[in-house]
Amino acid sequence: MIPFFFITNPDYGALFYSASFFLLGVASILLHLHQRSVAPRSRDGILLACFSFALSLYELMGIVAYELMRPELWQAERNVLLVLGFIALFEFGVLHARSRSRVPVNVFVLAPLVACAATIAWCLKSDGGCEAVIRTLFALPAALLAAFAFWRGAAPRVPVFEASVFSARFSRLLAGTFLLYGFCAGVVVPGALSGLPVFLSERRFFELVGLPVSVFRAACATLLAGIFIWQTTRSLFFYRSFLGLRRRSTVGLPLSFGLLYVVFIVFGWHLVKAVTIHEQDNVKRLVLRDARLYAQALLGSSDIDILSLTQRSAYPALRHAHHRMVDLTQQDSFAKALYLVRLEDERPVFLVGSQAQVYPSVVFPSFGESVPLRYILDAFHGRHPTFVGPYRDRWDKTSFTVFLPLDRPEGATLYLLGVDLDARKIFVEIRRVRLFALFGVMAFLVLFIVGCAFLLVFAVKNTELEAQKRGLDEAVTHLRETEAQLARSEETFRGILDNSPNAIFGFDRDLRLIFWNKEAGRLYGYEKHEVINEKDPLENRRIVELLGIKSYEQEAAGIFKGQTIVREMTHKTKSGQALDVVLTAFPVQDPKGSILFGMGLVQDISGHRRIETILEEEQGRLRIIAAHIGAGLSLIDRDFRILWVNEVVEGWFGKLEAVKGRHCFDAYAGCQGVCKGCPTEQAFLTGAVSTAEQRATFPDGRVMDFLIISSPIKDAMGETQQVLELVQDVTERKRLEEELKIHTQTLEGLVEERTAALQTSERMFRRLFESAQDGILIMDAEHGNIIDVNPYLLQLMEMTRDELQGRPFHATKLFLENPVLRNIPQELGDKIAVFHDDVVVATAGGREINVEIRASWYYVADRRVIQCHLRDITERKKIERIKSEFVSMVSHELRTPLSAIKEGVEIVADGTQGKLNRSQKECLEIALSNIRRLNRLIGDILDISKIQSNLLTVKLTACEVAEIVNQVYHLARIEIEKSGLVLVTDIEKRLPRVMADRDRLIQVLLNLLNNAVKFTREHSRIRLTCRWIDEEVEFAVADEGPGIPDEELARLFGRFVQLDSTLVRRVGGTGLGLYISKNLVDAMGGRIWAESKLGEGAVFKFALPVEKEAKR
Amino acid sequence: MSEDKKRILIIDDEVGLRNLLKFRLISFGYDVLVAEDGYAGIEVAKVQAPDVIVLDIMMPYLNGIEVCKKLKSDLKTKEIPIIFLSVLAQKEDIEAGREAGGEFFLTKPYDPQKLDLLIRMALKGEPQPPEMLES
Repeated sequence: MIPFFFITNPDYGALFYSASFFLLGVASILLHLHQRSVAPRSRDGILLACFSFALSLYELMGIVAYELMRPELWQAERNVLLVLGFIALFEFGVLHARSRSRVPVNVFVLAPLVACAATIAWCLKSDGGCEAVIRTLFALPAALLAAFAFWRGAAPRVPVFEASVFSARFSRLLAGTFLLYGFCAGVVVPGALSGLPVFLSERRFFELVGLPVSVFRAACATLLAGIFIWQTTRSLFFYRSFLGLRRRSTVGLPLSFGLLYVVFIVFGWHLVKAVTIHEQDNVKRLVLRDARLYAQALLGSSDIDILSLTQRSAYPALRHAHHRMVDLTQQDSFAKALYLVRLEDERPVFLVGSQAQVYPSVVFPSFGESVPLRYILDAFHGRHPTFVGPYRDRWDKTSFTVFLPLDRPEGATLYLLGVDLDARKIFVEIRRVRLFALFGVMAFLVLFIVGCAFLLVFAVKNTELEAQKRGLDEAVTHLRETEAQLARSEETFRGILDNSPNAIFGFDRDLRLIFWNKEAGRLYGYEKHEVINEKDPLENRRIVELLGIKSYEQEAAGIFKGQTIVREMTHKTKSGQALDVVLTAFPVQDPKGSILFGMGLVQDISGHRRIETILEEEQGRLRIIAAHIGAGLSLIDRDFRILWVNEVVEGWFGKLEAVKGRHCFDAYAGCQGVCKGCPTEQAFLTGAVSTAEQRATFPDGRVMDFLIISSPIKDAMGETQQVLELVQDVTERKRLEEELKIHTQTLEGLVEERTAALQTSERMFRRLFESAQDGILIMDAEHGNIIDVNPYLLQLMEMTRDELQGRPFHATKLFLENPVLRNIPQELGDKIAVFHDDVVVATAGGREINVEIRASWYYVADRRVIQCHLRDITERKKIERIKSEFVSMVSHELRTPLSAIKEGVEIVADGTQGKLNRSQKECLEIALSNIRRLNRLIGDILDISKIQSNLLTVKLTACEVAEIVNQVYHLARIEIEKSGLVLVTDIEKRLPRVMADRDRLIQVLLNLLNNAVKFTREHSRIRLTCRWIDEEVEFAVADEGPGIPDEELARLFGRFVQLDSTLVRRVGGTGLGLYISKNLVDAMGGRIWAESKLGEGAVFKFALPVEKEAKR
Repeated sequence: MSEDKKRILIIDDEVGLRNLLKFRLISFGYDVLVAEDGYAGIEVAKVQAPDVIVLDIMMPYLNGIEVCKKLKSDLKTKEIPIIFLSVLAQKEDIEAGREAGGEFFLTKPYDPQKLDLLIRMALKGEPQPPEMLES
């Protein structure tokens, strides 16, 4: 498609480059339109269109610029276009490449925009010269990205473009092309201008390379466009939905695009030309205006008379003119030079110019010495301004030269005013306006061409449609008639089918549902409107998908060949359930025999299926039960024939085949008639379950016992038709039963014996318990319940059995007032026994009695029981009390006369009533001493009485030993010395206090001392010592008497003991003293003993506990 | 002369001992008054105001404890120290006597020296030392 004549002109070569981009743009628009229906948000087409049109416009503007020989023309605007176009391409690439990158999208959007803005600002400011930079900055990356995007689009399973317009191969081709384009646009071209490798920036090289490069660029562009167009027009969808064509038109569309191409180029060329010419005219006009201004300025000066300049000698005039010209050119740098030209002999002669004054030969216009004669001659003869240019002057500036004829009023042009103008200024002035105009024109042109293209396409579509329409109309009419017929019959059928109790549906050749009755709706769960779309029959559901029977699709097709299908199937309902059905499908034909549609009749057999499955399961289950039941089962009918046996029975009596049909009594027992006590017979007779044990004897002599449970099986009317026997092998069991019976009998005998013995024993003890003369209370140690009380206790405490027996001890009124007795169980605890010998307790009747209680515990079976013995000691106490009172009374009575006796004797003995002689005194002294003895005896008797009736009490206090001993010493000393003995005391220093009854302690000490006096030998010493030993203070009274034999030592402290009188010199008191002393010492918590060696005297010692706080 | 001698009242129902005691006390150098029962004793005490009273406990009609209480509750006789002299020698008896208000206690038969000492103590107003109970 490359028009060859354009190759010669590299500038015009850019024209088909522009055309290619233009086509690319159009194709992009088409792509966008196509995508809009499929992927509404796709921006591919728009971006590519932006890129294409921008570059197309850029190229066009470039051509114009070059045509006008003003490459800087619209430089800024062209740069802007370039930037925009590449940005668009960049964005396009980003759009499809960005899913792979991790850089946030905003970078891809913002960076180019920022760069874009910066570049635009710079371009506008610097007025060109940055094209190379732009190309490198934008063109290369954009093209690379686009290439990448297309490459990715070629990758399988990566639909880069919505609707996958491009095939993989062409996507790759596009990618490659973009890559090449990028290289050309971004590297080669800028390289040539920006001076990368030195030789590339050589102008000659550029001239050499320029053409091929631009051709190459154009080729790339064309290739891009071509591929794009090819691909967008290739897709089936594109054809069908957009153009309404059914088949690919492989020639039509590319041809129309080719046509568009040519048209663009032609139009473009003409446009360029037109623009160039227009541009030039514009420039000329402005130049002329300016030139005229200069002319006026020059001529208007009264100093210069042009006419007079004809004379060569008009030097001052010439000089003046020169100065004027210089002024003018310097005033405004717009005009570079001014000069006057005169024609001589058809040759221009330069008279004067701003450049030089005198030497005309030096005067020449800016375009050089070789003056194109014809311009000047034209000016002279034609009498109209002649333009030369635009051209580049020596200083490489775009310039114009205008030759203005300066007319004389008469007519002949004598002079020409030549004005060299710097074109740039003009261009700057006009370009903005031109730009917009050009844009507008371009836009209009684009729209126009696009519109034409669309119209072309639509026109093609229309004609085809017309033809189709006519055909359709006929068909429609025909259809209408048939429809009417069908509608009528349909009504009838619809009524029948809708109300049919079977599910019925109809379907077309595509197996789409066209009919769906109520029952079908109910069965499958789909409402009619869900499966049949009234508005769009193509949306009706296909039965094979709806019912989940895709595998039957082929068969279904057979229906439309006239086959009828009856088949069991499993369909799927709306809720996903499987439905077992029988489907009958058949074609419905019209009278002519052509098949209109198919009908399906569905019978739901899921119920049947379910029952079958259940039955199978049940059977299976029953079989398993029968096999594993562990007992025999046999089914007997009314005639006592065996109907069925399970494996267990088979194991005993033989396989089912062998026993079936035979009489049960024959097969099992070998009898001729029904067995005696047969439970089956009972079951048949009574209709109730019967149980019996039967013995079976086998031919080989084996015997087995069976337990048979016969259950009648009744029919609907309640008659027993069959009996099910459950047969258990109880042989072993029976054997064990026999053994057990024997054992049991033996045991029973033993048990009886034991029981009798126990009973006897029990009776004996019961009697004891009942008749005891002490109260006995037995209670449970854990729970405190009173287990038993004997009658004596009840009688004693005046309570009834109900009040006590079985009740918790603490809940009863027993011993209520006496905390000691109430506390007995706790006090007992784990001690062996607890004994209280004198407790006062109130009976239920309020009587107060004294009791003695002894409690102990023991185990009965696993139970700990407490047993309390209660003895009524009231009588005893009473007696004791009486006794002690008597003694007390007696002793007091005795003392009364005794005191009178004593005083009487004493008074006389003291000499109060008159002086006595020695013998008188002696006699009386004897009497006195005996009186004292008698007094002591009475005291002792009183003490003993108290001791015996436990009324002896001591009051313990802390007593100072030394002081007491001192007193005793003083009390006893006289007596002792009277007997001719010496009393020595030896008391340890720092003795602690002892816990003792002071008076009683004195009593004991006196007693011991008295004994010592009695039993020691004459003129000997009696020692009284006190020692602190451990926790006690030990008192000792030692005499030097005959001593006491060992066997007597033990008996010393008993009552009425007196040693053999042969060893005693003095008859002293009774043996009561030591007895009393022992009791007193014991009562004080101490102990008393005697140590003696025969012949060495005796030591009587007693020890009393030390006061608690005493420290050594 | 009678001001120098202290007067002691003896209240005892037993005539024999009463007289013996009287002799004894006279031999000690005291003036002696006697009463043969509680009531008489109280009267004598009120009228005669002895310095010390020797009081027996076991008496008919009014026993010594009661007498002591009465004496101690009467203004006239409150200050007179009382020595109990009795066969009763149990701790309970001694305590009863003390409770009644008796300052001294001596058991029969008594040691005359002790009696003398007690009287002297009573006259002085000293309390009875604890050990001087038994004769």
